[in-house]
Amino acid sequence: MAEDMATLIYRTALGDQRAFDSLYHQSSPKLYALALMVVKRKDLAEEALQDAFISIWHSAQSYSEDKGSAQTWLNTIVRNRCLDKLRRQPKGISDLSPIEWENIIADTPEPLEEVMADADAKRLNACLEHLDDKQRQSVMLAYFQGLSHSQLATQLSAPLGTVKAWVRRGLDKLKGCLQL
Amino acid sequence: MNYQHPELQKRLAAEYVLGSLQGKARLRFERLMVEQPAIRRLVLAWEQRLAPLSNQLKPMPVPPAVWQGICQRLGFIAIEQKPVSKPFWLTWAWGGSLLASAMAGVLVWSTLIYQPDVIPTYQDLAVLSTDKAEPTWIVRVSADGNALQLSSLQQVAVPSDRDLELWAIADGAPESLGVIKLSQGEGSLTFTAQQRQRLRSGKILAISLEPRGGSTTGSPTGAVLFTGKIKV
Repeated sequence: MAEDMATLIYRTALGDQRAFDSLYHQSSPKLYALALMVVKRKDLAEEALQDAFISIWHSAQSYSEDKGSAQTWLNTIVRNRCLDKLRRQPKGISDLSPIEWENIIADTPEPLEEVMADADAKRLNACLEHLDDKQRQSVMLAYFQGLSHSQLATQLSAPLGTVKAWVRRGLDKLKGCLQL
Repeated sequence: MNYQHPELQKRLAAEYVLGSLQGKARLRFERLMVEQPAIRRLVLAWEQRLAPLSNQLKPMPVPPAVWQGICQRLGFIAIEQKPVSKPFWLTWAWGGSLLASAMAGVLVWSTLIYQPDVIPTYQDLAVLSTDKAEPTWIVRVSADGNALQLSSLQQVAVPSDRDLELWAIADGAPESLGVIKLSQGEGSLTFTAQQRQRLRSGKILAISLEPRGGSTTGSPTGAVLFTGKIKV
């Protein structure tokens, strides 16, 4: 049976290559999907994933379970690495539409150990439905494409102030809804 | 901007995690995060709120070159001999084949690569952390349940006139599992039949600082330094 990812991270922190190998093979298919989602190019996604795991090997001792689930910790490292890569690229990669986003969301049943995460996802999705279309779109574009306010304004053809308000209202609504 | 304003901090934390906070403002905020734990907590809360967005993506097969690149950059040699295995999520989909491939993996390890400097019959049992939630000990139990191994994740200083004693807590008072034999950051314990039973019914492990030879009262007398849940 596979060991849980938090344990594998702790063992990686001890320099255990075998644990690091298992951690990589357990987690990388999801993390690769995340990287592809953000950077939209295979070569960049592969680079980002590789960089992320180099950093995971070196910084595994900074993980602890009070910093959130292992999956969230790994996601954050990979997504930040991807956002860095995107910011270094000339403009023109971001082209995500909400329909593409919907298509990428998993529709297959998840393994048992992910039931909890899945419940969180359902809850978040339900909360996202309370947002106006523009608010939701701004939030999604910023999260998966790392777009700044001004890039969002261009992408959504709206004034900067309006876009800022969409993002802010969207986040406020999400937070309020998730607290219920 | 006044970065001490709580409402502003909350908004910046949200936009930092979302990704819309960029450029110099992002760098300034990252510096604040380093200095102020309260801001880190705001950021963490948002990471957890938004994490399900990433978690529900469909797993994608990763080109093997990525792992090879990682091994090369980290200077791993042995692991490259390992045959490329099916991605974890694929074996999940195949259900029954999971066990088979895991066993095959173990075989490859034990025959080709794995040098048994650690006795492989030990299983992870718990991670014990300080009261500040810093993980400090990884506790493993032998297959027969008669012995424990403890590996420290960070340096633990024990005064020369003191010992560390391990306790199992079920529902009531802590029960002793014995004094930990320490040697170069590794600890070990061998159980009596009674201690073995205590471990079996325990839910939490704790380590306290005791006089040399352990507590004489049957309960912890010194500070409880590390605790952790026993994995089911």
